[in-house]
Amino acid sequence: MPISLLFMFDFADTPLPVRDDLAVAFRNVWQRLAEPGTWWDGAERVALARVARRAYLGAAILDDSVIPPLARDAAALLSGKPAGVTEELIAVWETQGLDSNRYVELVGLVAMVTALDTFHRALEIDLEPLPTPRPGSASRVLPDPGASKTRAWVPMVGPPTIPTSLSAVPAEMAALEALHGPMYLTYEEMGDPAIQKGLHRSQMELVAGRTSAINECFF
Amino acid sequence: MLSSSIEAAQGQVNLKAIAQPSIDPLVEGGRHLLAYVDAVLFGTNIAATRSGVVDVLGEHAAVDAAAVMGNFEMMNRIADGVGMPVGGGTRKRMHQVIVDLGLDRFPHA
Repeated sequence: MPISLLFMFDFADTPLPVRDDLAVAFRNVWQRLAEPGTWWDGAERVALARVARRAYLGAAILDDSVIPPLARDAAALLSGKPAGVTEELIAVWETQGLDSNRYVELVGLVAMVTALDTFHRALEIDLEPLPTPRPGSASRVLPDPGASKTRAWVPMVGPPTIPTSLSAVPAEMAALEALHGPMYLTYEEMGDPAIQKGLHRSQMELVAGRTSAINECFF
Repeated sequence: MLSSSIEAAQGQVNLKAIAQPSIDPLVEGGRHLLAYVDAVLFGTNIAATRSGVVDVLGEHAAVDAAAVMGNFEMMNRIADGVGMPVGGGTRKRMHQVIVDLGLDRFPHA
């Protein structure tokens, strides 16, 4: 991990006790954000994050030549009004050049930035500045040949479930799994209806359910 | 992601509170947690509602509530972004909850 990242997500002066595993998970997200991904390079990933952050706040999306306008539109809609994304829209984006692999990486990236920013807003901590992009090209690792589009709107390896949601881009899938454990529960912990962390499971689900209801996300 | 949370919370929470936060969820500190979620997602009154959670449930609970909100803001975008379908079995099991909470109005599955 670059030394500069060690100084990010420093919650030492935060009035409430932020767990170390959250800070570590957040730093890992920021490190990955700055690096070349599978289909977007570091500069493009940070640009997508910038769009997502502004769209969430309802701020004007600045013209950013680093990413194609189509990607900018997709990141803004997904961040600001996720229920507005439709299968038809994704199909149109694909015909216009935003292929499903690039789109899946964009979804993961926007979603993870939103997670961290929401945490900061909830504790009224200044948002972490976006990282400086690192040089290099996207790896362009093709998805598992078993990835296919069935009942969901993008290709997945296996039946469409949250654990396979980003599986067309394995690096994003792994990053999502590394983040949701500290922020909520690991897959193993989800099997325990009585688990108690800072909140009891019933309290966690109340928070989760209300968040999803406001976002009109029934899944 | 709502259906997953409802299934996980069945029997532990008055689920109507998820759609109508004026209803008591019958969970310790539940009203304060709902108020905190609404404050953060609508961007108003965050400090006061967070203090309410801290007073009733403690500091660690407030931090975890912030983390769970962040997690589900993330998961909602993934589910909406990839068009995650809700299975027929889930719909069948949850039919009454769906009717009670008026969830069919949501544009996504």
